[in-house]
Amino acid sequence: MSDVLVRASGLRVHFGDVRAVDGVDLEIRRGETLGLVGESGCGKSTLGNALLRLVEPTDGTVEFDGADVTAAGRRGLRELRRRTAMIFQDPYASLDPRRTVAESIGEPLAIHKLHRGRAARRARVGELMEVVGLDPRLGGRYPHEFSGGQRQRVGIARALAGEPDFVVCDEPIASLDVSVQAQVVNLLVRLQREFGLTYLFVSHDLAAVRQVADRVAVMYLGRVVELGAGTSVSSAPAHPYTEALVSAVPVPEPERERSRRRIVLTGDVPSPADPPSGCRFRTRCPKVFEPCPDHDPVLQPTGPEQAAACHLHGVTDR
Amino acid sequence: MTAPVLAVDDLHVAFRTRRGPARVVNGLSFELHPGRTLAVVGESGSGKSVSSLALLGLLPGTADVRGSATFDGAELIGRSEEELRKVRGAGIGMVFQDPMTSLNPVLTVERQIGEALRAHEKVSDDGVRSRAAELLTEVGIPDAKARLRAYPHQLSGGMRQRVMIAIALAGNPKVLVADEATTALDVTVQAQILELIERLQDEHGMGVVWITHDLGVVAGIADHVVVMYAGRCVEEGAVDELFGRPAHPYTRGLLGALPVVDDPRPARAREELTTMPGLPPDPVELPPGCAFHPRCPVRADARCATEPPPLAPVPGSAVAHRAASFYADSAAPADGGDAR
Repeated sequence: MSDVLVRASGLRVHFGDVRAVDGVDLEIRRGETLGLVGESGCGKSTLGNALLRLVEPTDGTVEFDGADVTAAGRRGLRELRRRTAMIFQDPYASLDPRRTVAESIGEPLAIHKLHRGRAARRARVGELMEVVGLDPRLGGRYPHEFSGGQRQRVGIARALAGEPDFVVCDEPIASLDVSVQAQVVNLLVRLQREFGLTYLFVSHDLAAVRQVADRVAVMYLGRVVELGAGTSVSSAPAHPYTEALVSAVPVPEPERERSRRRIVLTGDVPSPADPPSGCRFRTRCPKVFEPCPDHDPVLQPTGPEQAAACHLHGVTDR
Repeated sequence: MTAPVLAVDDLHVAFRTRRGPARVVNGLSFELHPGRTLAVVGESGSGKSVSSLALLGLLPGTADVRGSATFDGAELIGRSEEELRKVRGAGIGMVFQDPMTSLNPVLTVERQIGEALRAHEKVSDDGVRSRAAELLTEVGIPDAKARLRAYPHQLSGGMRQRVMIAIALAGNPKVLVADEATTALDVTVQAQILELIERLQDEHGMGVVWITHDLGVVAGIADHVVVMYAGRCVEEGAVDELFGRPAHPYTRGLLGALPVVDDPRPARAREELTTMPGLPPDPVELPPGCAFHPRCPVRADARCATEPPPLAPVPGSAVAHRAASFYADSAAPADGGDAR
């Protein structure tokens, strides 16, 4: 059994001219949490969707547990759907308001023909609710009767229903209050340890990503620009964009925060329909130099368990 | 010390609802001094935004507002719409969370800045154009003359927020109220806006009320911090004191709930984040006594459930630092969370 559960190779997802994901190679190891950070429009959610084949890739392949899912037929897709799941940002939008939460949590069981029979299914739904810290007696209620944090727990219970191996968490805490965010983060970590789950944790919040992720991938304009152990990416970033990103995340310690050097990037992110030539970050990079406009850098090793797509570590070309 | 430019005293706001009054702000007091930054921190429903809207008279008719708020010594509560309009903008500028909804989508940037300029003084069309371009340049928008003709949708989120700030600056306000002004922005854009507001504050000597849920932002920009829970100030103090020696169990819980980006430990070597059980109370049915007692991890005894704790000096604090808890204790070890 390979220790890689999910592998993307040369993955591209284009929407018309917009190159949301534009050549990503990525491996997600069994049992790890890979954090995927980046700012609005960098393509991180699209990448997460493409790994589950919720959007069709324009080019490249995705392998899940050794099987090419981009070529999967009906049967292969069904298997992929059972073994993978997604937790969304806004559980209110992802739950059917007309169904009780027990019905929503139980739906994947019906689809995948698991725990057959009404009593068995009800028992399983109750068990799932308990696992995520919800009182099973609330199963007959509707999503609007729950708080945001409770709804996110419902979404997590539903995601776990088919006993998946791989879960994409897409901004799972972005719409929650700080004290509730901590509850959900702790829950996700606990569930991973209990069930041996593999996570892709997609978030714009680097501090939250660092709390849960073993490794971190940083995206900018459709590409992974840095990949490495969480500790090295945040304490010794190898890509100037990561460096700016880390420096911009405030730390809740006044003395340290006031003395930290913020790297303030100039300008806006260029359009993903018309990315700059060469390195895509060069138009905003404080360290831009001669090769940047002409050579499109590949992800290259910069240290143990760390790689960056930047010419500062040697000029490369895709 | 100079006189405060903005002073809020025992502010109460209740909304009339079918279920009875929703008591959203319950006796809030704070002072803002010229050139200083006051952060008002709280989670959804804590009353932090409603209190700032109340003092500008921007609440709907279903709101009952009591108490006092003075700007430069003049009372704001109970003033007529016309009088308040003069204060807003000329005296107090506001920047909101979502510039896309606060800007008019069918008017150019020039028209919208122009409206703000004309509200305060008589200016010619040419005067408006050159002053508007000056303001755009001041908030760091390159090629300001061309941008005057742009519509909001043609600008990025960060640019739109800069336009909002330009509008807020049009009347040379003494106070800027920034309500979650960087919440909808990416962190690198947030860094740009924070830098801009700090610069403008230095240049104009404005007092800034920064309303936010983000304690990281607060740590970097605030002089003084007010922590709100269920419409009350539960703790306040100078920023270093409050973060360094948080005394209220709620503040301690909030700080422990935050992951720190440059914590050197790998994810698997970290403790769990501190959590507080339960949810903030329903403002229609506020619990008696201390509103936080049903969730309080420290102690909840008979007294907590019956008697509202007053905002009192924290024992052993050399600087101004007050907390509203019978069990305020800045010396207790931080509960869980990160290396803090």
